[in-house]
Amino acid sequence: MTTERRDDDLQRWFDAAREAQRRDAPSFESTWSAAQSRQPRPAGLPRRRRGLLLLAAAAAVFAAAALWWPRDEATSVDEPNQRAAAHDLDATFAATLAAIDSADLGWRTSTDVLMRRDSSSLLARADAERLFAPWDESPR
Amino acid sequence: MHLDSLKHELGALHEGAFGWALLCCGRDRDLAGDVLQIAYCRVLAGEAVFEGRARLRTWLFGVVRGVALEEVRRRGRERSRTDSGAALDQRAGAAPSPHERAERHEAVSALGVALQQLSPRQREVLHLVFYEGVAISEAAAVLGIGVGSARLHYERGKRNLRRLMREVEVGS
Repeated sequence: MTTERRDDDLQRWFDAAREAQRRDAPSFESTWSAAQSRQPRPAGLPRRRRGLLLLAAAAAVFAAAALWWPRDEATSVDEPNQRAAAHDLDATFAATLAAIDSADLGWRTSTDVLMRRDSSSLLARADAERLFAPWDESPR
Repeated sequence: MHLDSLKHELGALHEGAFGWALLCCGRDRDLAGDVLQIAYCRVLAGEAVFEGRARLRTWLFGVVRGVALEEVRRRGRERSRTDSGAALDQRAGAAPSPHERAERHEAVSALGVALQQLSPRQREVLHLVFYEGVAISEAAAVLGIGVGSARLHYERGKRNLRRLMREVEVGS
């Protein structure tokens, strides 16, 4: 005798009980409507959309802060040797400016060199050394 | 799945889901109705989402079972073994003939009493397999247990149910 045949008696009992029980079930439409009316009204945006908006706002604030934050040249140099090189460059540049001021060139002042420094410190340093070194070495 | 098509599919499963809710709620009809409402409410609110990883019926029955457990716990109700038989008795009418009605009444009543004497797991597995016609593997998925465990509950449940039904028949 197979399992299915042996289970026939159980199946008959359940079939009889199932029919009686299902006739007693509330209609789907009424239950669904009750569930719809039971739902709380959303207070605002759906949770997922609200989260995305918050994320976008945070990203925008971060981007704006990154753009507007004052840049510090010294802190922008990360490597220790680069930082030391920048320090040497500044010291050399200050000495060059002092030499220019004391030389009284007339047509070329330290302001010119300062303007060049804004565009490129290295270029300004090279220019200053090329222009004034021979003069600086000459006897005053 | 779109809500309209999901609603249509849920409508087809509604009677079975009610029978399942009834079993999970200790045959409390009002509580079973509430449980179904809450389950549908969670579907509508997007708290219970069908992702297609299981069959829709498996997923729905799992949701209904979870809600039923929460509600039974919340309301502090305990399943009453004596009420279930009487509740099923009330639903056993409307058979085509008096003879069939009497037979059905007797069978439903006896089955209700016997089922309530089984362990919850045995009762749930037998309900899913014999009421809903699901495979044991699907019943295991609904209950969140392994297939081997579900098969064990199924076999023991059948054996115990037969014994209990014989006792009920002899007693009556």
